[in-house]
Amino acid sequence: MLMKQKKATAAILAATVAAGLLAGCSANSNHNNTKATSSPNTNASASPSATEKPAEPIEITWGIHFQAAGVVENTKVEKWLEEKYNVKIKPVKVTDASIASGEVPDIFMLGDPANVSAYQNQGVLSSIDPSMLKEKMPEYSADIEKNAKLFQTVTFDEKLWAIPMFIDLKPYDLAMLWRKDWLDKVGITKTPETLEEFEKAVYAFAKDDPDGNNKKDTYGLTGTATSTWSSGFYSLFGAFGVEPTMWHEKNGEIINGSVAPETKEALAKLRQWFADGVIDPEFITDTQDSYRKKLYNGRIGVIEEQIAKGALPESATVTEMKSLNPESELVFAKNPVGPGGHGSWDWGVKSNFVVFGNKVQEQPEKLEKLFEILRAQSSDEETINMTTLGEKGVHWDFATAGATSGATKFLPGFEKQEERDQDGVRLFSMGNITTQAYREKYSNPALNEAIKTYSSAPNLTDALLFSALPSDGKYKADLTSLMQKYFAQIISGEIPLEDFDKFVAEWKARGGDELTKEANEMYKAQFQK
Amino acid sequence: MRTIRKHGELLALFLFAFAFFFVFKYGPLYGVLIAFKDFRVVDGIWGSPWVGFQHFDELFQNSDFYRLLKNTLLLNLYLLLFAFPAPIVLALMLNEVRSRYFQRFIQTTMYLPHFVSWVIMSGLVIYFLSPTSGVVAEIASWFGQEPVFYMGKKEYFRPIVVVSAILKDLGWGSIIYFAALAGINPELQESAVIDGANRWQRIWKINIPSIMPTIAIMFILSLGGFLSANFEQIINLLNPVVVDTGDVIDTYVYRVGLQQFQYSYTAAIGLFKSLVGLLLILGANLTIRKLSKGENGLW
Repeated sequence: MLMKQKKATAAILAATVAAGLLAGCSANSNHNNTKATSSPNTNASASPSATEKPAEPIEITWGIHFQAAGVVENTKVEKWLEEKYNVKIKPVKVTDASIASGEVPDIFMLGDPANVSAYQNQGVLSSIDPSMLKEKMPEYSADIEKNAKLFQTVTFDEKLWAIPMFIDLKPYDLAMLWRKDWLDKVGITKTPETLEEFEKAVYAFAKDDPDGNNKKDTYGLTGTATSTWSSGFYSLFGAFGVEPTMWHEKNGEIINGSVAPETKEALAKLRQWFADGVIDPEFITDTQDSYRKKLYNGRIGVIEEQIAKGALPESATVTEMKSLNPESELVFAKNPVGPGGHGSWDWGVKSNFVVFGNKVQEQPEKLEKLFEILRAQSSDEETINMTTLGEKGVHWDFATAGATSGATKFLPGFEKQEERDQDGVRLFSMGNITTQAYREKYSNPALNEAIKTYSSAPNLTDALLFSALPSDGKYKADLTSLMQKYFAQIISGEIPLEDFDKFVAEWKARGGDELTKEANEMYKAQFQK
Repeated sequence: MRTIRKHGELLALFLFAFAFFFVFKYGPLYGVLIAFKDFRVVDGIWGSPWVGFQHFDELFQNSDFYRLLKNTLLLNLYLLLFAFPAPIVLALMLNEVRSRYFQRFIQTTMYLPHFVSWVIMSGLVIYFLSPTSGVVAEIASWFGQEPVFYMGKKEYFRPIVVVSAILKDLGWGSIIYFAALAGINPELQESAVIDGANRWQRIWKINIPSIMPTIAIMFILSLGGFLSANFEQIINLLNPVVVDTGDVIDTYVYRVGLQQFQYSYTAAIGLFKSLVGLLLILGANLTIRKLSKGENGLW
């Protein structure tokens, strides 16, 4: 009976996974509705920024937040911005395809230095004058001072092409989420901290029947070999002091984590675990979504989870687990400490990047206007709240009633992001451009505390801050796919561990050497302390 | 002028088709130019500099290219051998079913998977083939078989693609053959019955020859896309262990080209694929015309 139920829930989960994937895809659908907005805004005098003469509103094509599925026109937030800043906004959805067809918005956001580099190569961006940036956005500039290296990641041909944003307390940093009741069941009282303790626990999960059904149907852990940027098992590679595909600095030399000698040691360990039935063989097809489901289904006993999703009693994964398995218990812990310390995949201090379309550089008034709005998005509480949270009392409120700072929550009717999108909340938000002061006021102290406790950052992050190397476009995707193939085959025992050396040779020959050279040059020129 | 007046309605109908092909097929051909240029968005198609055959050289010198070509050819060969005849067999078999309701029921259920996207379909395939919780492993265990992790073995990838392609599009593909079978003159069948032909003989001597022109045309058309394996299907089923057998030209184009703004390079690959497709169509058409003494074939 129990087995049957398990299968049934599993089937439903499979369907939801599939549906989730589908939703993920539809998020890319391009709603490039280019109908000009008929702005009702003629009342410019209401604007606090209005100059003496009620100037014609400047028209801005605005690339909406890249995570938003599609354009919603004439939203509350759009009208509010138009009124306040005397502009006319045309929201558009930015995709590679829309850019390729030459429709470049005036302002939009990109996720990575690699994107900025690709767009700059295509000639669709305006360069930004750093001194002007400093002058127009003093609060932002003061805040980003200590992360000024981020500017290097988007400086090409000696010009700045994007406004970098930074984040230091990252709710998406990964640490370990354990089945506490399983640990108890197999007689482990101390939540594993070292790699040896970790190993002992996952072996016990696989061998000692932690779910007590007298069947060998549990594993210690699974991985995500299908990740788009690396190899999965981040905390275990981290315990050996490497992350595949990341650039690491060792004694002044830059080497790639994929081919570091420590990576071979980590692979040897993982391979052993796989052979002993500790790693779920399906790690090859598992994704971050499906390994969470395996935790819910009582198939594995530990996952790598984002701190915001696993560390607090009200975190998403914890509440989901509780609702599916009321008798289960979870405990959050740091990444295991191994011979190379502890660490996990760490995106570092970089956040997204704000860029201006190539036509902006010929329109000084527009640039002026964009800076005015950006400055407000950085330090004007009213503007930040309107664009990121919406209207207080309608869309959001503080989590504790009557509070004037701390964690915020969205109100019923607007709890889902899609619902907020309908009112334009997030569409024009620039996320981490906000000042430290704002972030402190509007963050959840418990979560901040959890991040400080559990995150391994800044132990293992990219020595080049995820900058794009000149030849990345040519080789990177191929090398990542090569690494994933070899690593999955080595872990699953398909090929011997010694083939790692073969992989290293192949990696080097197929562009890895060239990238390593470029990485070292870039490091020496821009990042070396 | 007289012909225009005489066949006015037909010409009007044709205009729609012509407009469609002109706007969506012939118009964009201009863009093929970028295969010979170094395309930059800001310079536009015409403004980007010419580079001749540089992108083609790069493609043919890529050590991966031959592996990709081999994978693509083999996969399509298998699809042609197994997935192409499957709907024909289904149509022939269902055509012999007496009960109309049963026939309709089978037809309808078989169409259904066609409307499910590959994202969901491949999620289901991966799930069904799971060694620990999948249906296939469960059934195998009834016969005392050890569970096999099909998605984790590169030798199973092509069979999985072929079988799942058949499962998904079997019913849909058979529609055209049903239509062809329905068009056979019933007198032929009746006289065959009177002459004492059994079911097998009727299928062999009447049904198959009657739908042969349809089969020939479908065959030629399917060759046109010979180097374009079903991208959605493969990208969703692919995992790192099976790239040796599963990585095809289209997935490579997606990974290397579209994600990195390398439009010129990918346009060159597309043009190469089209060229091979064209040669295959011409070759197949010629062969079929020769074999059927000029009766079948597209032209």
